[in-house]
Amino acid sequence: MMMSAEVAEVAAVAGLTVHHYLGVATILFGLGFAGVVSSRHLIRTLMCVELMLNAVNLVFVAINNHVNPSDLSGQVFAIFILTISAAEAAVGLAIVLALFKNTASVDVEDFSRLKW
Amino acid sequence: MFESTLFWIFATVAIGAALGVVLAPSVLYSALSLIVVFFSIAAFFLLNNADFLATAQVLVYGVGLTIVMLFGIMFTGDTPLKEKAGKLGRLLIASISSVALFALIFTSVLGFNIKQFPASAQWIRELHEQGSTLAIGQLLFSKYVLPFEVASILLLGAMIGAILLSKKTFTSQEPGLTFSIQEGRLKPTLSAEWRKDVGFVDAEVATEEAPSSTEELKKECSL
Repeated sequence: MMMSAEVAEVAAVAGLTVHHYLGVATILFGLGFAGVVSSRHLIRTLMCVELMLNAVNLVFVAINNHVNPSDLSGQVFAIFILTISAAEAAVGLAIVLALFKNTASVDVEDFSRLKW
Repeated sequence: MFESTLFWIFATVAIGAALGVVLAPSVLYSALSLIVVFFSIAAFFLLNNADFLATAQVLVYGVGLTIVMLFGIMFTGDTPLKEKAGKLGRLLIASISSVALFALIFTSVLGFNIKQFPASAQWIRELHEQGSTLAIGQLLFSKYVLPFEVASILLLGAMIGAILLSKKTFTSQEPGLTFSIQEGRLKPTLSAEWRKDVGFVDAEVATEEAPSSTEELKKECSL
């Protein structure tokens, strides 16, 4: 691992590096991706998208705190992601409900009308 | 030392609950374990001096969003999906692709090495005493004021869109023909005037002969 002396020093003091948080965020992102690919239930797919967005949020905040804590731009970016994901969840759920009203199903495989 | 203990506890909880989100047999359980993931990510935010964001995370994600998801599950009914072949292949594809994605990101993350700008001790002390709310508010209304306004327009659009989408959408062109969902099936009902116009005599016969499933309905419509 290419850790500079400076980074290694911070790690020795705090016991935690930014890499810890990045690792956890990567695992969460991968799990969310696996859920999006494997899930057949529409709402579970939406929840896994939220999981991926949260992992990205964690990366923003961790890097903000470990790289440049005197400028909180990373946290502001995380707030924007929060806003967009709330909007996405509302619209996504409205689409799911409209689909359910029309077809009485939440199975992704039932919505293959546009399949070529 | 204390911080790293907390980190490992919450990392275990978050990853276990995320596994629950993906693998839980019922969607309801997945929504409940999603709450656990959101709260442990809020704890990570607290460990990173982001107190305002941790609060927002609990309010927006941990409470608001999961309630919306639970409402969605309640409206659609927590019925298990029909078993279909190819579940194993689907899981295999998902795990292979996500492990590949994970390896790709993880190797690049391990090499992450950027020049750090350590903050002054006074700034850290102020941050710990006052919290990050003031600094974030100043940034939002000075440097990021344009994205802030754009986000408000986006929220307005999303709200209008969600309301429009979740209105009663399936309205038929025929004034006397309405559709409702009964026992998970789309059920058409004919009004009395419509039946008289078409020539049905008995109301009971008319409702009984009405197509009860979507397939039959499609067949009738195409005829």
